[in-house]
Amino acid sequence: MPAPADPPPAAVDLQPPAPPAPAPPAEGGPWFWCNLLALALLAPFVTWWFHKHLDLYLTEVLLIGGGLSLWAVLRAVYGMVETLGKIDPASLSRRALASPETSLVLAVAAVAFALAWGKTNSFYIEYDGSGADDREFIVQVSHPDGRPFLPEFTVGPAAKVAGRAFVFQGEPQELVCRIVKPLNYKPQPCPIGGREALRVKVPGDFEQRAFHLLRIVPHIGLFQELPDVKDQPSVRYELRVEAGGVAHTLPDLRRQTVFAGALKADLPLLMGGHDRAEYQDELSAELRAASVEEDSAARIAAKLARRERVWPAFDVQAGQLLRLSLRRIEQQSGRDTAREVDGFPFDYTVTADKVQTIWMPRLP
Amino acid sequence: MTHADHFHHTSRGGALRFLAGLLLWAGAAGAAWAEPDPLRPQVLVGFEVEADKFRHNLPQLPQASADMARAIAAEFALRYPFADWAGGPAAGNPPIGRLVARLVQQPAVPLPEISVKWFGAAGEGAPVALALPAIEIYSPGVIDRETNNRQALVSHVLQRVLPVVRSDGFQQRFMEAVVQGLPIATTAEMHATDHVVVIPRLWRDLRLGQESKLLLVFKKPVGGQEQQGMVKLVLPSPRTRAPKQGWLEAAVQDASIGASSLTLDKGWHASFPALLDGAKVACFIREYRPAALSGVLDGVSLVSE
Repeated sequence: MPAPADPPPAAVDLQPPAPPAPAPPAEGGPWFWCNLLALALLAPFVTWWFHKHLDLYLTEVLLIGGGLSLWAVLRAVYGMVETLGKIDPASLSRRALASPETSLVLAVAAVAFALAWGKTNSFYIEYDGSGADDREFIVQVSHPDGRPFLPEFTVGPAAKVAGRAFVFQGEPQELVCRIVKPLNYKPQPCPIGGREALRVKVPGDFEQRAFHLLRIVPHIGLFQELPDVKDQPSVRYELRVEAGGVAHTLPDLRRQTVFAGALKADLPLLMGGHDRAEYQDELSAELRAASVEEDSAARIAAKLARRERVWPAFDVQAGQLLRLSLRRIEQQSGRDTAREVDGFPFDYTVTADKVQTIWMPRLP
Repeated sequence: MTHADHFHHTSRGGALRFLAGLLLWAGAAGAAWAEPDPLRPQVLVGFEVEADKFRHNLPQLPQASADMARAIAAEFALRYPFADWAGGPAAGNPPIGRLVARLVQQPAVPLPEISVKWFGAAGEGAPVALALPAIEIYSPGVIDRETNNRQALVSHVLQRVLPVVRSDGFQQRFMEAVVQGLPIATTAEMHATDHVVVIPRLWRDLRLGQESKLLLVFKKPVGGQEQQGMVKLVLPSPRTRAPKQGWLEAAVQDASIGASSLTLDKGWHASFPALLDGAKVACFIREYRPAALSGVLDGVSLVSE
């Protein structure tokens, strides 16, 4: 019987002994208290910043709905970690809070937040319902030169807030807010910039005023004398309107309707309220009443209604007196010779009508 | 015949032919120097803008007037080729008349009526209103008028004027008011040899058909008084013999001095040769028929015409 074999030599572990696992951060150690304090300090600022710039954007419904959803998700994660990982999440969070890495994360977050704090502004239009009979307001926010800054906002009883925050876009902007519908309010400056949160109440923050669209149109005698739009005339006509002691000049008047009565950004909006078909009917009726042939009246009315010359040089108020003059300028011997056209100047008092037609003199 | 004889005969014949040719040439040159061919009669056509809104505002007004004058002149030139209807300045020879289309305005409501009225003069006299219908350009109730656009105004005026000018009614009145009043010549010669009256115009310039009729009016002082007479001419045709070959000649149909009619014998009267001596003469077209096959009768082929 063979001798039993020697047992194989035991494998020699050549690996160096593993270092002892680091001791988990002690709950209640200095890092724990330090991180907790940092969180406690940071949280109010974040809350305040959120409230200032994002609260309105998220709206109550979104906030409540989103909060509930977030709570449900977090609770589910908590349960899964607890069941599958055999870990006590409460203990884990306490340990995480006591970790120096958490301090690093908090420090980075604090720096990022500090940057966002100084470079975030927000702009909100709030419907306040003051003096309004439950109607919607369309608000336009534009640069002073008329370029739109944001798409138009619509606020009203159904949607009381509109606007947004601009994170990391802290450049100051000179803006003008204008209620474009209904057109009964003066535009207001609404600059944003820095870390400001701008709240514009509609229509409470806007001063009410009445706009008047003036349609200045040549009557028959002057019409036949003026050059047509397509002509290359040798004589030109210059319309001057004195409003509030200031004279405004419109060079090269043609056979067209001059739209005036408001300044640059308001005039196109005012013209939006002008009904071209109705205006054409009005012109046609006036021309026929002046014994112009039916065909000619229809043709001229269509021409005058279609040919719009926008002149946003001055704005007017009801009762204001305007003085209109027209100069005929002809070049003679290389020099301009001007004379006042017969029937001019004449005075016109602005009425309370929103849209009014000023017929220039008929002339012989 | 010897060679020398032949030479002598030939050289003598050549010299004679040369001499004859020289004489003919000299005769022709002399005739030409003595009396050059008359020029084609010319009628100046003008267009004047009197209506003030157009006159004051229209750019390039002279050009607009010239454009309209040329277009109207071309229309009359087609219908009355006996004269050069010139829409521009006179081309050297004194015009036999002037025709002026004038854009005028008449007070009306709501705006003045704008129309073209006709004025004319015989010779180089001052134009007077003609008994031709005015042509409405803008009725009082039309206010979109081309006061500042030359091309548009020219186009609009011609669209109004030319169709009227082409109408039979207008042409009939134009014949009476204008054509019959244009003196196509201010002299005439009575040729007793062939019993014709020669008008100092080239037939090929006037191209009067033989159905055309002319009227010669003359005034001459007789015994301290001015005597007026007229000679009706028919069968105008190109003169086929010298002198004045190619000129316009016509036969006499009727003649009168004052209220007395002259009795003609074979289309002639013994007093004719002296009839026009010292007289002021003017020859008018009374009936105008253009020649259908012009060019054959004056000895020039149709192709070269």
